[in-house]
Amino acid sequence: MTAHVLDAKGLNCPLPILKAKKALNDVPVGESLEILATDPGAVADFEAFCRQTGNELVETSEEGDVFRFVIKHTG
Amino acid sequence: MIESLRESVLENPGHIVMWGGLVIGMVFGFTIYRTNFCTMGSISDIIALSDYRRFRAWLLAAAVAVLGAWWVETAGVTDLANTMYMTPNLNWAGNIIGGALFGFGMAFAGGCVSRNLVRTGGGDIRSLMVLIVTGIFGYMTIGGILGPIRANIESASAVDLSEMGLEDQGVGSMLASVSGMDSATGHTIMILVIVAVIFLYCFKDQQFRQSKTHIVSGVVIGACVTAGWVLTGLAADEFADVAVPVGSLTFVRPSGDAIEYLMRFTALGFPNFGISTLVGTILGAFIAAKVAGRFRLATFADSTDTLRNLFGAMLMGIGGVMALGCTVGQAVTGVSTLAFGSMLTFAAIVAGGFLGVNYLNRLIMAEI
Repeated sequence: MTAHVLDAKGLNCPLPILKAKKALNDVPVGESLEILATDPGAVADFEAFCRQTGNELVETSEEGDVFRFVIKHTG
Repeated sequence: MIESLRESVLENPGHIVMWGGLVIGMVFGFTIYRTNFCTMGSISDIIALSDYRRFRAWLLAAAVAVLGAWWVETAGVTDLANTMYMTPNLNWAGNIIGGALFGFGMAFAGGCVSRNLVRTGGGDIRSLMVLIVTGIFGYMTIGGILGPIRANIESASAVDLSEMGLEDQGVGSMLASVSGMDSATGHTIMILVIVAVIFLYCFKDQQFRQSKTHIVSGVVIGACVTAGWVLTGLAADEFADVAVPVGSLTFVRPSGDAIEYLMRFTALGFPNFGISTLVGTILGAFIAAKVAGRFRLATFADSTDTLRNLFGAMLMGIGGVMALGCTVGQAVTGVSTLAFGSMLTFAAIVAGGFLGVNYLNRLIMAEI
């Protein structure tokens, strides 16, 4: 379980991405940020986020209505 | 071929526009859901990620629609110079102020009107509320309590280009006027220049070239706008009792029209093209969400989320009517006619969108 968690459930684009960008600033390089979101567009958004920022998308999973992304701060 | 098609369509234009609009809307909504095409998202991608692919997809949609509109005119389907976009009365203040309001608002509403139609299809009741508020404020701005303010701004600022010898507000006519060439040649030259510049800008980027999803989204959305021109162009009959106006995809006024239609169904005939495509977009997205197993009911996260979304919806309704269209209605459909006002609106929406997303970003950065 990662120590850094961003709860973006219920929020629509662009808020999850903007909040993740800010939250990742507080995560030391090498550690991971867990993001919880419900917006169906978030899957493509966080793939683009990692592709563009150079951080690693370690995990994408879906449980019930909630998407869970784990991003390792490598960029 | 075109004339025999026209004869078939004119036997029952109301039915054909309704079903045709529904199908075009379904393809549009399905494509947006599957490809994640989003005009507001394209601006947020640029600000947050320096990712220009979705913005390029938006421009590609406009370029494909320009080519499609050119074909519609050269094939003799209809003359787009007679559409509302090309009137010689240039409503520049409405284009700029309305476009900026719309762009700023869409950042707060989780996307433009078409994005909210697609979210509604995916089960987001919050987006349905956004559409209703956009439709109400749109109607308020057309002829309701905000109508006189809009009309005063328009009449105080609009420029009648026919006084300068221009037939319409097409950039082709403007080129013809300054260069001395005939307007048909000017129109063709501007089509080629605009399409070439957009294609070059889009495909010079390796990331965009390699992203089939973004290319497909732009091409299909441009094709949907072309299909709209063909359908309404064939169904338009100036001698009919109730003439079908020539138009294509646009969503702000139709949001209000759809509410009116639901409330006054028995007094109205067939739903117009705008209402049909609006319903089709929701249906297409619903099918895409079901196929992906991602249909889920959602609503406002909290009171702040409610206020933010409804504030955005209000601005989209007011701005969309002032500017005569939205990110699709002006930036793709309007631009495809080469109307100068549509290009002004496109630029203003992008500028307003940048301001809106940046403002949201500042609010988030200020949060502890």
